[in-house]
Amino acid sequence: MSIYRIASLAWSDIRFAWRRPIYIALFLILSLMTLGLVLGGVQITAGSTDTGGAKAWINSEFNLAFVDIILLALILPFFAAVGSGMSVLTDEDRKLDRMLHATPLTFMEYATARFLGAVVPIAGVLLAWMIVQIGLYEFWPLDNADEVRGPFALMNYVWPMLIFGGTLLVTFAGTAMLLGTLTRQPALVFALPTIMLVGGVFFLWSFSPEWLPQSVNRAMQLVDPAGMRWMMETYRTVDRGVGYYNTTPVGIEIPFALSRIVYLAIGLACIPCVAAIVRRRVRGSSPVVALDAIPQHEAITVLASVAASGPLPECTQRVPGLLGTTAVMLRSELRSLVRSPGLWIFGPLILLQVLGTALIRTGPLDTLVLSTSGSIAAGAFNTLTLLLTLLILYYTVESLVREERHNVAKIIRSTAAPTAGMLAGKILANAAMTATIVGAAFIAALIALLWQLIGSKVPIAPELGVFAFIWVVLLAPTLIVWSSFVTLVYAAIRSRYATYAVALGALVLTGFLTQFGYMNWASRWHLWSSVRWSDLDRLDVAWTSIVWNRILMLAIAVFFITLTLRIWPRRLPDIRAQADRMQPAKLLRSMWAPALAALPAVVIACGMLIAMRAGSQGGPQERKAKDYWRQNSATWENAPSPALDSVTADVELFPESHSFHVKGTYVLRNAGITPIMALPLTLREHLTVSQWTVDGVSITPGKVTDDTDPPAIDDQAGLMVVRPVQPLAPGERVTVGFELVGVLPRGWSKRSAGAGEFVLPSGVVLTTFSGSFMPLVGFSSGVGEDDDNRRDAKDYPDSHFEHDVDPLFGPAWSTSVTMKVTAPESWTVNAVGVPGEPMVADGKKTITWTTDHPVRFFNLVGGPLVEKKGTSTSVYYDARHSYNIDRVSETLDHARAKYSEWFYPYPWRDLKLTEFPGLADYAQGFPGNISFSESIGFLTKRGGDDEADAVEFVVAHEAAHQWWGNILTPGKGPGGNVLSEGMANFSAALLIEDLRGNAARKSLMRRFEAQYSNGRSPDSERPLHKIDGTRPGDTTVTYDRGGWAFWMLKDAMGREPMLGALRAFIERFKDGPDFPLVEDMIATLREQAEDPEGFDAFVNQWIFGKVVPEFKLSEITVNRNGSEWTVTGTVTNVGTGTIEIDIGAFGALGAKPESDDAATAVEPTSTTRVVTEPNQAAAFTIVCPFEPARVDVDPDVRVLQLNRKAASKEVAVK
Amino acid sequence: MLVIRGLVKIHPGPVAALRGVDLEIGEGLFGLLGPNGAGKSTLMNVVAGLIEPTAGSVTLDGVDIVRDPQAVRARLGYLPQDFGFHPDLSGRAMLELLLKLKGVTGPQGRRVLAEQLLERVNLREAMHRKVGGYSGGMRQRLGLAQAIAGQPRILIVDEPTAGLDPEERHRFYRLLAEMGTNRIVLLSTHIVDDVATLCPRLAVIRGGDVVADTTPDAARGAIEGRIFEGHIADADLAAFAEQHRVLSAVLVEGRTNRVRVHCSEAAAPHGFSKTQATLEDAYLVLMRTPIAEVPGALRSANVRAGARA
Repeated sequence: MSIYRIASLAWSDIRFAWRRPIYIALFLILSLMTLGLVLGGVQITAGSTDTGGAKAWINSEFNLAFVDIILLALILPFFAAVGSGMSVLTDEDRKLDRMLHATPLTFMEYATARFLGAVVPIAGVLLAWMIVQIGLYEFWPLDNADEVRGPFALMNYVWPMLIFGGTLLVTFAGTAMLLGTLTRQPALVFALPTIMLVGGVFFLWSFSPEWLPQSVNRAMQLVDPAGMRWMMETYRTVDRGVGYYNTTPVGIEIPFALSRIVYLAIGLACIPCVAAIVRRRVRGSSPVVALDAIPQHEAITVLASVAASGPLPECTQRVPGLLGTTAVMLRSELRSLVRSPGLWIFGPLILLQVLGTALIRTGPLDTLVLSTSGSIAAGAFNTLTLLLTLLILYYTVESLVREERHNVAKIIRSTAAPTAGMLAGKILANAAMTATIVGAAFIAALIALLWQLIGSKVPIAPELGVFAFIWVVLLAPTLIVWSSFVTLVYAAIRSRYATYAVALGALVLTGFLTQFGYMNWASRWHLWSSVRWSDLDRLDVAWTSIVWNRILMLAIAVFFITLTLRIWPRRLPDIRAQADRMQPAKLLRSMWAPALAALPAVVIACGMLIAMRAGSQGGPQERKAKDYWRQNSATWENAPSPALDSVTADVELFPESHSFHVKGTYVLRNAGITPIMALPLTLREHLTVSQWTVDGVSITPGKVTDDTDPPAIDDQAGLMVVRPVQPLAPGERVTVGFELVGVLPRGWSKRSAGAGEFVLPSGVVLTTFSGSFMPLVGFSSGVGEDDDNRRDAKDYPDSHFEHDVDPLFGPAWSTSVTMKVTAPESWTVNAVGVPGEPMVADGKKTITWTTDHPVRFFNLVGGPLVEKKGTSTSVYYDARHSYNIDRVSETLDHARAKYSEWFYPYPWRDLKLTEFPGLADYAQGFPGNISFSESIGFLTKRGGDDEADAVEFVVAHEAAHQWWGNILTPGKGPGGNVLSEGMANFSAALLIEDLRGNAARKSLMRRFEAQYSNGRSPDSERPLHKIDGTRPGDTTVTYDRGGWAFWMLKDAMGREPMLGALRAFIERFKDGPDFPLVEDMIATLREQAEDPEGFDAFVNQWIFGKVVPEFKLSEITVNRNGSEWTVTGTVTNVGTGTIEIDIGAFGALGAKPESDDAATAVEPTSTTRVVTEPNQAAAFTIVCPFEPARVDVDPDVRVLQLNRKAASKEVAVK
Repeated sequence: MLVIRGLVKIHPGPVAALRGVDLEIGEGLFGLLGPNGAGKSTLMNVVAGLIEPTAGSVTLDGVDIVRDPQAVRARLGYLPQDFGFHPDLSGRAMLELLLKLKGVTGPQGRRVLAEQLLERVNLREAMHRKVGGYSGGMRQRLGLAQAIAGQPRILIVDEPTAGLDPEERHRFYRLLAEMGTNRIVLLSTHIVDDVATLCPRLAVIRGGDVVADTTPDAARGAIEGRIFEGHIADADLAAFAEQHRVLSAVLVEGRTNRVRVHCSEAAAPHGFSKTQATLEDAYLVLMRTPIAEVPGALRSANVRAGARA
């Protein structure tokens, strides 16, 4: 091989690379993205984002590796594919290959040179980008530079670029060149980058449920060419803390390093393959045929010139019109598409993607969720959008250049066939291609539903209309506007590679704007994550926005198409004539058609912007909320609120218009010891009060001055301050009346297709938490709060719990409620309390609800539902969602019975659970009236008999809030929410164990543990009694560690003593006015502890401390002695805490450590118990009457720990 | 009638491909001669409506092609100099596609018409083979087939005989001659023999200018009696060329140069004999001679538009 020849040929590409749009675009995209990240302060999210926490360095090797992987994985493969994939094809198109192969250049030299000619410029771009990175990360002025900028280290930049960027570049450049050369199909050049992107985004980089076997997880890490999964799973799944990430280099373990080498080898191995293909193509092949078998050419006896004489064949001509040309071009393009292998690759790709997504849809707690037609269609919407936009880009550009590539453009353009018809035919052919892909997705959906029927025995019929609506009606405008945009770009710049560069840049920009929330209904051309499917609501909540968005996209497409036809280079323009036409008058004359075509889009967009502005998220509403906060927070946030003694309300719902009417009265009482001059009521922006009364006197709110005679209502930007006739003395009452209408959701959102509370034809959810349908008593601190004005978390003193503490949520006082609710006759609307007899008139049903026990908050939830009556509870659900109804009902009955027995007799007569449309994913426990999103519980795939399934867990958890949250309201302050959520998890574990047995309980606890392990933030974690929800990881500590801690406390105290203590705790604090914190609960429980010292030791580690052990087994030996086997070894706690732990040995019939499935029970078992100290090995010995096959730490899942799967070892007899 | 007035085309560079071409071309074959880069293809492309001129006008039967190129496309048959086809289609399928785009069909259908056209260009036996496997000559013939389809009013053929063997060239000549009976056929070539054989009228383009608009006979007549031929040894050729207007010097059998010169009888070189002037001689005189010195008779035949030689 001649290095000189290789270098010469490669140099012919490299030296002009700096001018090629594709490389300029790559550099610009990477640099601008980096600038955006630096300005946005994106870095590894470790450390507290509040003051006082350590910060991650933006220029640490970890952060740079993280950023490099993400940006390069998303962008580099495409550019590498474009740059190298068509290099050989281009030589053939230009007939340059014949000249090159007529020289001494060997085929291997040729392939190597072409490879280098593509890779070296991109490497140069990466080098330039690295320099930009250094400039930005090291020198760009930042406010908190001292905190977020560590010392400069060049290798921090170089090493990740080499490992991750180098691998991607070589792999995709090589494979693209091979694919392009082999198939001669430019569209296939993009196959591998597309597969990686789609597969990565929607599966490989994100799919990591707790039940995924570690071996499979490892394999996925090594298979991922980007290294993203490896990085996330190795270094980010368990947060190692800011200090680690700031100073530790990214350690490349051997298997990962080998996988990178394999990928490099794959990329480089493509070079000789390309050489072989080119060689075969140039040299040709000789079939083995006997010469005699080939007939000889006969002499031509007839004069050719005579043969050519005579009249031409008779023919007629009628210039084809638009439709005729379209049909001709469509058939021609389809013929080419059908032969294109791309279709046969991308079709199965989308089929597998949709199938995988549908079969393993995960919901809360990493559990599997049933798939319906809508959820499959909406779930795959983003995938289809991404894949099809990329495919359309490739196929559109290649279709447009096809005539140029084959050098038939002059002939075709010289025909009279209209340009519009030619373009239309091409676009329609691409539409047929996309239809094929969507068809493949549909087949996948059918297979998924069938599989679900066979596997889960849940028959869910496919709804063709839903698929057609989401995948055709909603998706088509996206593809049409994108296709027309790409065509327009090509028409304007007439360069294939520049078109790719511009289009890819547009996609990256779109992704950036979408990710950071800059796109709204008027600009969201891709409807990314905007199709939020609810079987009940069926897109009704955002219907208007979606419809107008789609119409706008079509209008924009019309404009693009019109402009394209205007500038399409059917005839190559003359520059001077073009300049002449740019004169304003001539330009206006020539552009009138595109301008006219743009008008509808402009009008629609303006209308949409106005509608968004007027909606609940529009500027005026945001300003109103801001004004509320600005004018009132300082004065009223900590001002005493009156008690709400009683509420009487007449509520009428109008689902069709998203509205409601309320006429009500509040009886407010001064529950303090000093007179109250003014009583604040918060009126949310979507409520309009038409009448106020104070003690029966009609009042018009306004600006109250010293001269204003009371009673009066001072309107302070939405805080209605009621000034009674006389200051309200302690114990005195005032009655405030109001009549209002509300619209919820009000107007257009900016971009969201969900809603937390609403009145819709599909259902209603209204609560007093947010004041969604009645005024809130007091100042609401969340209204108008944003990043600019949000205060740091209040610093509570350690002795905070010793004083009377306000409730964590809701008011401090209980209220009796009488609410008359009128709704459509077919509806069931549930409120708190006991219902009266329904009255039906004029198609409406009215029920009066009266509380039989005081409540602190109340709600309305309902819709067109049916009822399932249990023993002591009722479940209201949509008739289409009956799959899990028996289990929901059974669990709710069980929860009421058991929690009443364990904690406190349930005070309300009725306990109801009501389904609402899945426009938000939450469940909420109001007194006697639990609301459940359809996406939680009702559509969950049930687990095996011994697994805790999410249906039971969520019902158990939410039912527990009737006690932990309603009967006993925790206090406001650090640790308060632990008493609500942590105790709810603890209660659910108790119930699951009671319902399903220990195996199910263990499964649930392992899930808590995995969530805690994945979500905790070691640097900022605080003990349970200090958790206030402001730091990363606080949520998992509250829910998961909290549940675990109370479970272990039960084991430490003993079950009955603990339950007795909890009963005493509730009795003591249920009525206020002092609402408890964790310290109060621990103090109460300690009174019942049989071993106070042991109790203290436990609590100091697990409640007031934040120990978390991690166990490693070592030196395990098994010796047989007759009929006994002795297992010895050591266990070391490499985490924290002095922990008493069980070690179990399991027999040869044991199942894998991850499963506690009773069907393949690990029997027999022997255990022993040891006490472990941090970083000290503790020896253990287990004597087994059976041959042991495995040793587990904590086989009964009784101690919270990290990395449980690693604390298990297979063993064998020596 | 194809009327070209003051046609100018300036490419970025700047390069003046056409410097104000004036021509009137009636029915029949019209040859466009000129060296490579003279502007012939540019002129063809403008007439075919593929590029926009910088200035000037082109009308076909009164219709302005520059303003409305679509108007000519319906009546145009065009065979470009450099072209290709979709390699995956068979010859017949490719021709059918182009017939559809032109809106041309036959009484027995488009397919039969395509086969008939392919028969005329001797491609019938290869019509089922993919165009990607065609030789250069076969592609040329396919190109001709699509150009003549539809009885176009104007047929533009740019370097049409490239890649054709002598048999096929003769076939092609016959076809073109027949085509020229009642339509405008614009033949662009740098092969003088083609023009001499086929075209009653011709124009010579040099550097974007029309240096001659004449007939073959007139062109030959303008230099008749002033062409002399002799032999010069290779070593003496350079010195000889400095003293005489050498039109051509062909090395014969590698031994001596057969040289043709343009001069008066008095200035004829020693040993050279008068010989009959050919059209090629006339062409070469036009190429070698500054425009101001070109005999008027050679530049213009005073031929009325539409008349034939």
